[in-house]
Amino acid sequence: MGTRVLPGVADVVLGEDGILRILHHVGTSVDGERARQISAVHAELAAGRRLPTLIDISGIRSADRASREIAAGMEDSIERLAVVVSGPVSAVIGNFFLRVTRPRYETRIFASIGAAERWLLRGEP
Amino acid sequence: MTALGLDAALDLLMRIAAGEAGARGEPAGAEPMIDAIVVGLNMLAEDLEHERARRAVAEALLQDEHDAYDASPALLCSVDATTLRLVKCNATLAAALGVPREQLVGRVLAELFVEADRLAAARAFAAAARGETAAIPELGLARAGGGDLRVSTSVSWSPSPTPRLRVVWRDVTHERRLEAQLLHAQKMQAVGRLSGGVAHDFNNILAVILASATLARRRLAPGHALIPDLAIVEEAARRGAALTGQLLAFSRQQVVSPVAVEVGAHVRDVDRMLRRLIPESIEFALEVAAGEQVAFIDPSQLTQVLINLVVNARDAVAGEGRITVEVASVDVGGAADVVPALDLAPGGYVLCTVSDTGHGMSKEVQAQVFEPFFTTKPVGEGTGLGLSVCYGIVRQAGGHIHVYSAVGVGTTVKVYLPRHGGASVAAPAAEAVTVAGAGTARATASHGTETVLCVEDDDTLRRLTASVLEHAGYRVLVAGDGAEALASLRARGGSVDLVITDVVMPRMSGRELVEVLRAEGRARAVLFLSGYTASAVAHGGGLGDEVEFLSKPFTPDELLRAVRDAIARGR
Ligand SMILES: Nc1ncnc2c1ncn2[C@@H]1O[C@H](COP(=O)(O)OP(=O)(O)O)[C@@H](O)[C@H]1O
Ligand SMILES: [Mg+2]
Repeated sequence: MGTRVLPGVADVVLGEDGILRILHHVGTSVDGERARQISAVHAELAAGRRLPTLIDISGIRSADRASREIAAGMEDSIERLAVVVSGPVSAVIGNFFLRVTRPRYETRIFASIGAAERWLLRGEP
Repeated sequence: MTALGLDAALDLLMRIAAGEAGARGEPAGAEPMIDAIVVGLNMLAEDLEHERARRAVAEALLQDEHDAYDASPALLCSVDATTLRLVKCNATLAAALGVPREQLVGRVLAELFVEADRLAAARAFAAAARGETAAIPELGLARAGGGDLRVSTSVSWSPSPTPRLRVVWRDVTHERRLEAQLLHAQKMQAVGRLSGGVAHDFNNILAVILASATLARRRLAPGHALIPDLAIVEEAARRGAALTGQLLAFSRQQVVSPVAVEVGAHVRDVDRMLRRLIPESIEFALEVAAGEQVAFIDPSQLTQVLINLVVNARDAVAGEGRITVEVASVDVGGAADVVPALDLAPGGYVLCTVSDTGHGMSKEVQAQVFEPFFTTKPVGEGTGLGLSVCYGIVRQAGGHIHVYSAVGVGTTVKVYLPRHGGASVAAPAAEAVTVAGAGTARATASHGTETVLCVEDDDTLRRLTASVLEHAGYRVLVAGDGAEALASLRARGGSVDLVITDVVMPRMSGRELVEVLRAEGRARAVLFLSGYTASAVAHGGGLGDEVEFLSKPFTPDELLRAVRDAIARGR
């Protein structure tokens, strides 16, 4: 349980439901440095566990290669990842991450937070 | 990013362009759509750039690996595990075999070996391909120009991209040759020591026989019926002495007097004598290159080498043919200059070559020719000592001797003598040279009244020497070894006119004895007796120029003459 705020980047929240949420701030451009900060906080909250994780990238502007590689390599603390997108830009970034960068854990893309949470909690498609 | 990833990215962009904005996104307006395409293209460009850099590094690594593969001193190749054909090989292997790499790739592995090893190679590699780990024997790879390359093999199995054997060969040809040479040298040394020892004892016995027979003959009245018989005994002893002389030459235990010899001039001098050895039917040519060819060698031994080689050539030609003797200077710069088997140290050499168009010899015969008593000639014709004597003489002079021969074609023997820097002395007249050990006696015995100390450890020989000297009027003292000689001279006081001493004796050598006697002023003159001297070998072969020396066995006349010469010198 806990919340960390990375100003201008994201809020990282571990909820009572066991889902770790990374909620990107609107207008953020994610780069390697920021991704590293998120990864460090994620690992701290996960405390050695592998957590179902939700990432909301609806408002981001871009995600560079370094940030995508870091995210894709977080299999030690991410059990499954639900990527929430909204609009063409985040959809392209999400799909690019899923199909080109290829994370080393199960990943799905959702258009709503609700659908994403349902999948993370109950494993439904 | 893999090729698959690239496909996926392109596919994704097409789908975006076709209006399917997000996988589950709602329809979007034109502007966000363009933003999305730009973002997608940026990511794609970034990943492509990264991929290009990664590929460049990988290619450089691959090139490095490839260069290392080619530059490796080992002979490397990979073989298809099913067909046992070469898939690839390195430049080292191609160069070693003298075959372009393109011609090696695709060939069956076993075909790379010399005929005799093909079956063994095929079996060994087939076993390795089945995953058996039995050791592969040493094998010979066939070289394009003929000859083989002895290799030790190690094989490893590699499953990808297709099942392969990775083969590493190490060239052990040179190692094997060195081993063989060492073995040969050791054998020759052992035989040399053995025959040298036998010859030494034998020489003493022959000396006694020769001297006794001569003395006995002298005591008989002229025309006595036993005189011819005694002459036969003397002749036989002399022939025996010639033989032991050869053995001593082989075992390098002869006292030699090396001098700077102009080899070309020397060979011209003995030319007439060599020609006398050869029948009319054989053509004989002498070719001496221009310029100085000076070697440091005992001239009579050089003659002996030439005689032995020419006689062998004559025996091999038997009928019509040609014998050529050549003298030339050669400079050996490095390993590349000479046939690899020679292993000559770099430097200048006088090369003396005797070639013939005779029957030649097989590899088996060639391997043994330098061994004493090895002969293929009928009993009574060959002694098997000719080449072993040459070997001993040439080695003692610091040189090398090599035989090249082909059955039915002929033989060439090359003698390399280290070129000598100093000025040469005049070559001795050919007629004066005789077979080692058998000096020609002139019947001019001299008498005297001086006091002579005779030091000799062989009792019979000592008694005989003393009796010859006493017979000639000398006062003779005897001693069985150096220490005894020293003690008796010191006890007696004063000096003697001449000390005759054996060179090799137990406890104190003749050389040591003489040093002490000279220091104490007890000997006005010295005469060394020897069949050979081990110490002479240790000290570079000679006793020095200033000493008188008589080689065993000797006739009474030779002894008396040497005694007179030594006393005259001492004055
Ligand atoms: N020029 C040559 N041509 C052919 N064979 C040779 C030649 N020289 C030497 N050999 C072979 O080497 C053997 C040994 O030679 P050598 O030591 O001189 O002894 P020998 O002449 O008494 O047999 C000979 O018996 C002969 O078989
Ligand atoms: Mg001979």
